[in-house]
Amino acid sequence: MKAIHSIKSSLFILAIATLLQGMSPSWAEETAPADGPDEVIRNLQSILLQSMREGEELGFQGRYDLLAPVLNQSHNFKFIIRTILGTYWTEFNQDQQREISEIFNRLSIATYASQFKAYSGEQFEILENRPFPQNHIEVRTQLIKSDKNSVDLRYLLRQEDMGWRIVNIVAKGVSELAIKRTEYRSILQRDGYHALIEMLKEKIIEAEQI
Amino acid sequence: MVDVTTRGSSYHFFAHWTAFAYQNAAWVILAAILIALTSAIYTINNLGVHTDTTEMLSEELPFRINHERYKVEFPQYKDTMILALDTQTPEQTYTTAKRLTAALQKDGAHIYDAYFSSSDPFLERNGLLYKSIPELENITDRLAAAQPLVARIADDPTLYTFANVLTEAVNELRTGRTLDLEPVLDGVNTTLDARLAGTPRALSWQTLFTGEIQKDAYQELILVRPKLDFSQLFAAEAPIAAVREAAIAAGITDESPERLRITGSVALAFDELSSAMHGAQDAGILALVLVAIVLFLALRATGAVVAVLLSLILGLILTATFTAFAIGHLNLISIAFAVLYIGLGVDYAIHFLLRYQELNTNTKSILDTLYTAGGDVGSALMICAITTAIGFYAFMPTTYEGVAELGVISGTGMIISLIVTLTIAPAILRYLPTRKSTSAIKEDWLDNIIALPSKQHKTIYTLTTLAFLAAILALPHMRFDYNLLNLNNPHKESVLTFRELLADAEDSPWHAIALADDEHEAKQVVEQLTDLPEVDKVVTLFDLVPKEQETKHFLINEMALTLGPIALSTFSIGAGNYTVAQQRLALETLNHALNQFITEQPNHAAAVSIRAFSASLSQLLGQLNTTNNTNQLLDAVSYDLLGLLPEALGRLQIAFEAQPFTQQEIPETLNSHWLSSGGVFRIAIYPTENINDNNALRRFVRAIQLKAPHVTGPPVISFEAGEAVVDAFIHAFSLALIGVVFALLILLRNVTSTALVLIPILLAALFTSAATVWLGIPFNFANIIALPLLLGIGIDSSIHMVHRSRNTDNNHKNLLHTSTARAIFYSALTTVVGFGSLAFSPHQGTSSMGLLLAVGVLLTLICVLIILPALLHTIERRETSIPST
Repeated sequence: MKAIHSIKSSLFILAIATLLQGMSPSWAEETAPADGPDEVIRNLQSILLQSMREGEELGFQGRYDLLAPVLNQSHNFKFIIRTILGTYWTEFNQDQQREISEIFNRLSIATYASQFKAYSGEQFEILENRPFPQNHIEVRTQLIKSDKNSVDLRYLLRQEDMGWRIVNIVAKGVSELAIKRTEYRSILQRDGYHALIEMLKEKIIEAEQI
Repeated sequence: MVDVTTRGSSYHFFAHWTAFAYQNAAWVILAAILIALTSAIYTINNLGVHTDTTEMLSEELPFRINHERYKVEFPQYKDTMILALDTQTPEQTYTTAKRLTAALQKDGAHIYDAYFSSSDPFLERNGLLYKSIPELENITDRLAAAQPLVARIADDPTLYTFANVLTEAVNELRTGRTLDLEPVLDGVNTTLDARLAGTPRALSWQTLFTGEIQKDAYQELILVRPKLDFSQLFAAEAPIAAVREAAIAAGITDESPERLRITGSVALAFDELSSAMHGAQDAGILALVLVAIVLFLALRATGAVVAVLLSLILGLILTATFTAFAIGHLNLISIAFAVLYIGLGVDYAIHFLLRYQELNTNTKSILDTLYTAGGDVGSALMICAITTAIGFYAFMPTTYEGVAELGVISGTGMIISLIVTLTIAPAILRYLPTRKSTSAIKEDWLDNIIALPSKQHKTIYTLTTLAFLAAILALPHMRFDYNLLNLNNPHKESVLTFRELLADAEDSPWHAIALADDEHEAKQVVEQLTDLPEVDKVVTLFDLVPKEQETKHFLINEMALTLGPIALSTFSIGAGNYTVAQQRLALETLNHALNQFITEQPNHAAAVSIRAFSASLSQLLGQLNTTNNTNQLLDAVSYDLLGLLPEALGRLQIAFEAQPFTQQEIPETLNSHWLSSGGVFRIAIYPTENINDNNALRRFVRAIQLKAPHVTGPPVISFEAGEAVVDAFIHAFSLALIGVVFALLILLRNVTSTALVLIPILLAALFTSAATVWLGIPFNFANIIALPLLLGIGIDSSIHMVHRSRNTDNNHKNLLHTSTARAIFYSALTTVVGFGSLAFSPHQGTSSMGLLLAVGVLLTLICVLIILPALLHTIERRETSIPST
């Protein structure tokens, strides 16, 4: 048992190392204490790969627990939900803000956990980064699938005290903030706060079950 | 009554004068020709024209002092043109305005500066900070809804991709996803319909993003400061032509959907001057023709008519020379004097020649006849000339230079006319003698008409009293039109455009300006004025700094993040690499998806838009099947739908860089419009109502003057100038009246005669004032001089009548059969046609002056030929009933 476990670990390390070889060589050196945007993305994408590889074994909750620390570190979910809700956020009281922030946080991690659960030779590649208005950075990456088709993945990051954090993901040209804004705000307008909370909770349940 | 004294010195003086001229005709004519030529040359070289109506008022008036201060502190607003650019979409208007402004800024020969505020880089970057928070939220919503579409299209901006993206979106909608597609679909639909209907109009992505309905036209205003060439009569001619050329070079032609119209103070002045001058020129010719006709009717002899016309022309040249010498320029009012002179200058000649003809039926020699005629008429003419001149010179002390200058020109013109008539007419008669006519019999028809009322004294008095009362009742309704725009030619582009801007524009070009020496004062003024109901808004430098910048900055940040990175590909908009077949297939697939949606969810909120879109799309596909130019049509549709997307996105990208700023960080180019280099703040005060209407103007100006007494700007200037002019007119009329009364008392030496001369004139003045109410011709800056002018003109007829009645042996019953009455009639007629021809000028100011003067002279004629004889008759009856001493 132990041997298999250690083989797995070494394979794991090997996998990581292989992955690292495909990435920017500068990562091999020890970088500055605060991670730059590229590093943040690399961290994220490496844990996603791990989640994919170990997905079956870990099960939903396992993946959730694996991903949560890195996701919380690399994303600013509070900022994201504020941006999505716009003025509605300022109209909520503190309890509501706390509640929706927490649920959104869980939903985001749950969504990742439900999507990154199986591995079949995918690779992430960081292409470049560019400036984005108001001192943000856009990191352009792609997810290369086993059939050599690639999916365009872009991250928008913002610099904060604890480093660079993701505030938007644009997958295949579609901005998450945009999609969610349209969706959440129309529910708020039509059916109100509780309907939104319910909808989000349902989505978490769905994610668990996929 | 025979006044022997008049037959004394002045009789012989004038008699000798005319005889001398007759005897030395050749020398006189030669001298006249020489003088005419030299004077003409001098005049052409030295006479200019001033166009600023309000500059004709005294510089010491408070409103002029306030305006001067404004011009010193903010010279960029002096002498400007406003270019109104209208196109179909905000993107096109913006791009074209920017292009045109850049081109104009390069034209150093004709333009000092061209300013299009929206294109200032500072505003391009920080423009979103000026929107309200709800507006910013709304834009973010719109961008969020459009984002999935826009990102894909920006990557491959072709019709093919656009169709595919829309198909996917519709399919998403079918699965129940919440997408806010209607605005995009409606926009695309309207654009398609426009292209299919033959009136293409590009889709404005900017309005899609801001969530407005796309209007038919969008306007931008460009402020231009041209280089005026004051050595030319039309100082603005070259810059205006340069602007039109630049417009054509920028692609704005008669065929393009863009339209450029030029207005603003420089263009308005240019059009005003050209209308006034052309009007005066045409009126002059018309007047000459009509006057010649009247002369022919009066004199029945070509020779006499020629004599009159020649003396008229000489008099005109000499008066113009005098103007060039004494004043140096004409103004928009005195331009009309040339035409007035044609009507007035013939009067003395008419009196002289009719008297001559009357006497010519005797068997005396021509010389003797001339001698008598000259003597008889000479002294009357002298009295006329002096009183008229005094009447006109009385304008000089007023604050209204326009009136003062006209007074000097007219007064001197009358004296010149007298001298020329008595010199030239006899000289020309030497060579073109009039035949002895039997005019007494031929004039019967006129005699009968004139004599008609003389029998009905009671009726005359009754009618006069009634008219008098009616006129008194009308007087309180007299009004003054302060609107300087109403003087101009209403059909000119500059006038029409300006009126439109006054009615519609957010930035009405007629706004009041207050100046403040420091920030505290400026804020105080704003506070006091903002709440007034007549004031729509008050704008200062502080408004350039938006409120809640931190919050807005954050929202702009969110907006940028939500939209995400959009990189416009370098492909040009259009077909890209796709064939016609591929594109058509994409469109058909889209149509299919639309129809499926309608079948599945006929009651969905978006169903209406989708149905409409499907109908248009089907029509397009139909046209693609039937047309020969599929490529062209597809390219056109591509451009319509996608052509403005790069512009809209580009502007957004720049706007996302907005940074909060303080007043100190505003760049000089913007700052200088609100804060002068001397530290003076400019405060712009906009009216609630359309102040093209005089009552609204008065309300606005009075309201703000209570709080800010030194306020200036076009509305205030118009109003104050109007008040000053009315004041000046009252002065002028009073001085003229006093001067005339004195002159008459001195020259006639008889109080009764003086009264008799004045009564009909004063009645005529009263009736003319009432006529402004009855005919709906309000007083304005141009025609207000009608009343003082009428005083000077009308006095002649009255004097002639009274003089003749005193100096002839006939009793007054035959007075109306004399040459004097006929002369009064014909000279008044020439004056009427002279002034009346001005009424046809396209320049409204000149035209109303002509009309009012014509009416006034007609009324004077009625008073002198009908009322005065009745008065004379009554007085004579009284005198004969008193035993004479």
